[in-house]
Amino acid sequence: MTITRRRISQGVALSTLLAPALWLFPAPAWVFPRQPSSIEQLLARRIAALMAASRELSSLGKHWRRFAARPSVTALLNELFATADLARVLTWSDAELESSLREATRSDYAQGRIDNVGGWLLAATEARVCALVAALD
Amino acid sequence: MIVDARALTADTTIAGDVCVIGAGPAGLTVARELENARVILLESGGLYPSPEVQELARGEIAGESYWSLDTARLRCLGGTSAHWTGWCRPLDELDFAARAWVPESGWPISRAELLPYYVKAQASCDLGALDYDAASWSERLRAPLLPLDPTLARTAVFQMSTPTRFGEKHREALKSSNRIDSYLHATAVELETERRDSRIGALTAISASGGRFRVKAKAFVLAGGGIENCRLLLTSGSPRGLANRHGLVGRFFLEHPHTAVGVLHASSADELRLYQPGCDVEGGHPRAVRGTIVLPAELQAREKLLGCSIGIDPLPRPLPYGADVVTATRTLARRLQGLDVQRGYELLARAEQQPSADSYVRLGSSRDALGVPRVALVWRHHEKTLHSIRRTLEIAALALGRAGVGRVYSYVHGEHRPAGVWPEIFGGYHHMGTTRMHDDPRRGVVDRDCRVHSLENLYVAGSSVFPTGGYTNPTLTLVALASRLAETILRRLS
Repeated sequence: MTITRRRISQGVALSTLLAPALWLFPAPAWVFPRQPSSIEQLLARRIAALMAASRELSSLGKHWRRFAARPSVTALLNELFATADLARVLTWSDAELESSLREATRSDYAQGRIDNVGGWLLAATEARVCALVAALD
Repeated sequence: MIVDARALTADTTIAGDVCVIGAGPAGLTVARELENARVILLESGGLYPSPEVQELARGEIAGESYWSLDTARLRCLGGTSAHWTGWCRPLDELDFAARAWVPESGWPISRAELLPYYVKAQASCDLGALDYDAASWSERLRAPLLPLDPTLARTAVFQMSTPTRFGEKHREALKSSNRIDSYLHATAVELETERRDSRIGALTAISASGGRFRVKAKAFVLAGGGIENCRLLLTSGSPRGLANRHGLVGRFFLEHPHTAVGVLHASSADELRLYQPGCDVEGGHPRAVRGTIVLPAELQAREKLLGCSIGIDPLPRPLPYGADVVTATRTLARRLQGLDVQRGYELLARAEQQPSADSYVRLGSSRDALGVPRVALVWRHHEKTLHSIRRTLEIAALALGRAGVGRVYSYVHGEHRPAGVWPEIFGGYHHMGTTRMHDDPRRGVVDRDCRVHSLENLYVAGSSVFPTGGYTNPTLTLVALASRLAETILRRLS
């Protein structure tokens, strides 16, 4: 193919037309990789997406009594999935992920694991989930 | 008959079998149940409260913040029942026990001994049968019980009286009675002893017009309330007061600390119907019932807590935190427990106070219009009481979460607080403990029969005899004790 001035102009015009579409419908990271995302980051983002209301959860999570110590995403995930391999957890479906968190919450209430999140007396899992969303911010 | 003491000739002497000082629920109960005894009933006020008479009830607040004493008490026929809200529940079994973690706890009588008198008190307060079983009321009213884990929390039911206005209820009977002579506008100011201070020979009273008269009787009953009972003892006899050899008169003042402790965001309004105002009872006896959340006795013992009930009230004020955090909490509850927590209710704690001699009533520095020293109230709440409120809320929040009822925002643990909630503590107009009951005269003012130690014919009726107050309102218990006292006095008179 011969690169002509005309073809360059056509390419620029096409990119200009496509850019808004790419902004609205971003391609997955593997298409345009910027830097590698860790398993922990991917898992944390999946949980945040699963819960929805990320802005509100983040706002609440920042009031968790341990948040001032800047817990890492990894540390929080290890607390949420204490006995599980995070790489394997990442392969769970949304339903399995939600079910696991629900069971952890149920266990928290059964075992008396309550935490103070800015005055809200929540299950330990609930506290760590909103702290996780806040840590992603 | 009812007599206006202002019409009495000065220096008159009136005689009867028993003189009852105070015509509130305790005094009226004693007077009415002293069958076949000639009763002189003295009431400082008139048929209804009036500013001039209320002025006599003014006093000084010298400890923790408290209501003004002429607001918290009413001087009139029927006493403070004229503004009573009607909450009734007997003290729990644990309230009568000597608890190792509550110094100065323990009654010299058992709950079982008081039960027959609680039955009578139910009728006096226009309530139903002596049934405080939560499951029984839940079934009868078809209002669900919260599915609380019984190892953590349970429902304590209160029966709501109409509320009974004792003055209105008994006025006509008193007018037509030829056994009870009720003197209104008659304030007892001094008790006179005889026989080497072993008994009361007479008392001096002053009418609202300033005329003095005396009352002689075989027995005397102080029924003026938790503050006036000790006041009359302190202003009578020796400089230390009557029956005050061990310095206990006025000491161990108890209230029920009330404070709003948080907000419950609940998923179901129907689930809370039994716990809300308006759970009315067909037939009106009682008018309604209200459930509250309390901890079981075993958990109180394990955690070394005082009693405390958590009521679930309609929200009286806007939420003090933003919509963001409410949305976040709703999201968490929905995703992680399948709950839609959208309705807010205020949680109100009503607690038992730690008995302590440093919470007390003493005589003040000023005098009222009758020349009687006013009182000063030094109310103190202690860390144990505050800790019990905090811990009860935490356990209640756990229980409510475990039961899938909702999520709690705690004013105790959070920073978003409107005015008028924790850590502000209010009293409930419940004045207890100032002539406490104990078999040992070194540890109590009255014995198990409510007779003042060292005075063979002076008795005390009312909540001033309570050694501990529990978390329940005192009216039902003080009426029951008054009924028991009437029986005791009759037995001794005969």
